[in-house]
Amino acid sequence: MKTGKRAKVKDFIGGWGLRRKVMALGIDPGDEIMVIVGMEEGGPFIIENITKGTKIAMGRGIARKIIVEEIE
Amino acid sequence: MKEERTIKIALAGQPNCGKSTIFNAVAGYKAIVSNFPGTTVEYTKTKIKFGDRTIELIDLPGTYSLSTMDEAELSAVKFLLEEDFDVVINVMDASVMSRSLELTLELIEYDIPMVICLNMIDEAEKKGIVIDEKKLEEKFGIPVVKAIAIKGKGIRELFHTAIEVAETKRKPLSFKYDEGIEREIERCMEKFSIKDKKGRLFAIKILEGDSFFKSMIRGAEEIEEGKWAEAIVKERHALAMKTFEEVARIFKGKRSTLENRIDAFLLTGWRGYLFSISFFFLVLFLIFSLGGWIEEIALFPLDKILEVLSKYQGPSYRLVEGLVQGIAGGIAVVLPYLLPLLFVLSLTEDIGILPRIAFAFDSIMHRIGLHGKSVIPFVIGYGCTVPALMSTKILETESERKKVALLTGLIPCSARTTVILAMIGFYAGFYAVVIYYLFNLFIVAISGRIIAQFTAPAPGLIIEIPPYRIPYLNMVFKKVWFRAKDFIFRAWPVLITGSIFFSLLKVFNLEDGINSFLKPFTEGVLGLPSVVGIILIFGILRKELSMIMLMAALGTTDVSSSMSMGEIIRFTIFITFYIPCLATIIYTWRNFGGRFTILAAFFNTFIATLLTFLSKFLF
Repeated sequence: MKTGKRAKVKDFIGGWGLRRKVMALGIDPGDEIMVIVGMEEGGPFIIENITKGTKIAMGRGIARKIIVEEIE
Repeated sequence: MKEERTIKIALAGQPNCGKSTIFNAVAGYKAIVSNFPGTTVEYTKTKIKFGDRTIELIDLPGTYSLSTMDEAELSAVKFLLEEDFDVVINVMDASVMSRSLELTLELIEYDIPMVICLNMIDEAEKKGIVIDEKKLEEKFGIPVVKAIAIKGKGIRELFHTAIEVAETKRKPLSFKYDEGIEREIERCMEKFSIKDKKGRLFAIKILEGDSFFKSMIRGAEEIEEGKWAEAIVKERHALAMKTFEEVARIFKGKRSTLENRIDAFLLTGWRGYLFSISFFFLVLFLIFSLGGWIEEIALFPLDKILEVLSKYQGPSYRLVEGLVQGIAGGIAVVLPYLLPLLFVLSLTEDIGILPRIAFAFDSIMHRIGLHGKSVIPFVIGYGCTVPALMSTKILETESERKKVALLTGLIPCSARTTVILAMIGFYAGFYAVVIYYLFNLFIVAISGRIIAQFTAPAPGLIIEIPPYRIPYLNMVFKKVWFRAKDFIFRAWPVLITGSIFFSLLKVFNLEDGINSFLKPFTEGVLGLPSVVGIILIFGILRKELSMIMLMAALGTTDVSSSMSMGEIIRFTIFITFYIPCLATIIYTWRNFGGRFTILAAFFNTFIATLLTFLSKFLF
């Protein structure tokens, strides 16, 4: 996924604890998200959850466990 | 006349929901910071007068859920279960209502008198979210009050309603899960015979696999996590979404792309560091120029008194000297550094810069096993260690706070900078100072890596980036005062007592004795003249004083005439790294406990001794 591209959250993989944490911050399957900062750098990045109107910064470790589908 | 019983109201809500804004808006002068029983997570309490009623208001830590998985959540849960209170105000950020409702549903399961505060309705409206609070009231069976806390709107009505609910003990309507889950809840309640009021809550939590709740019911530990955990959380989540759809209508709101563009501009790649570092420099520059100036003016009369006092002999003069020294020590921390730094910290929190800096520094900080947020205490540490330690509260776990607190002690504060500039700067030049600071950072990083070997790694980054908000100065000032008060009223008196105690050393003429007692250490290990023994001890009081005392002990203002370059550098190294000042020690003791304080003092002194000893072979 590239900075500026939109995507839809499909599913989460991995532990239950992590999934709860992600869901508690308001990221749900079906939400439309967009990376606004930092996808190209290799470190953490910021996404905007367009559906909910929130912004979340996350590290790669957590991001790897969120499956998304790009929207054209 | 009405009964004069104090009404206890607790504020619960997710992080950034404006809970603390409500708290600060009404907090009286008696606000107290206290610890949760059994943990070190703090919560704040205050007593306020509302009409003819007295209210005790408790600000619970902000939590996204109540799953007891982290310290803050566990504290909130313990409070709700064990403490005695009349009503909970569930503060909700209306602009992210669907997410906030999950916590509301969890609170409803506690079956306690409750009021909902829909805060930030202005922001919600900007996003095109219009909430029908009457529908929400019907759905949950409890009052809902709309508010814009930051502007003070709706707060009176909120507390009126809360008092009413406290008197009528109106509880929310409980909601049902699907049949399968309900049957399992029923079975669980029977199995552990917990049919009483909180039985349903316990059954749900046990099925969710919550280890805290399981540990409270005999035999429940053996229940395995199983499929119910996921089913319950998912169902609660679905219920929250459904409720949101029922009570809110969403119009096509404006999506603020400007803010995204600002963030992309400021935080992408190296610009993130540039933005943060320029911010740090601005802050430190202001603090140093302004702080130094304030310190000089504020301490001028006291230093004059000390000068006069030193001319007289006799024990009573020495004791007065100790008293004045203690007062001066407090002023030197509070006025120029503590208050301005806390002000900047509160401001960055309220504007929303803080999580952005944490984001920018996350990669680097993770290399020394820390969370991105820990860069904040480090930067504040260059000003003064006490507010730096206060700012560790922004970190999530106790172990992280302690790790950062240990390392912050190694950062040269303004007082130590005075010594570095007067010694290394004056006798070895500007570049030597730059090299010295880099060396210091290197030692901090190495220590961080070593500590990281023994402790759990910092959790992966996942934080909310709140929208930029215009700070309300009134709120910022209240926050600063709230944080500074603990130091001023509790630590300062101890500082003065300690200072008087130190002056006894002079009264009984123990200086020479101490110097010769410490001689094997000062001369043998550190390679310094033995006269520094007493200076190192007094340096604990106010580190910038060690310079003046050194000059007095050597009998000259030109230190280089009686100390070699190597000795000057070693003296600076030892002063920079050894035991933090008394103000820091007292604050650490009060907030991290005695054992940790001793560990920290030992850790600092060990590093200082090691570095000073090793540098004997270099210089």
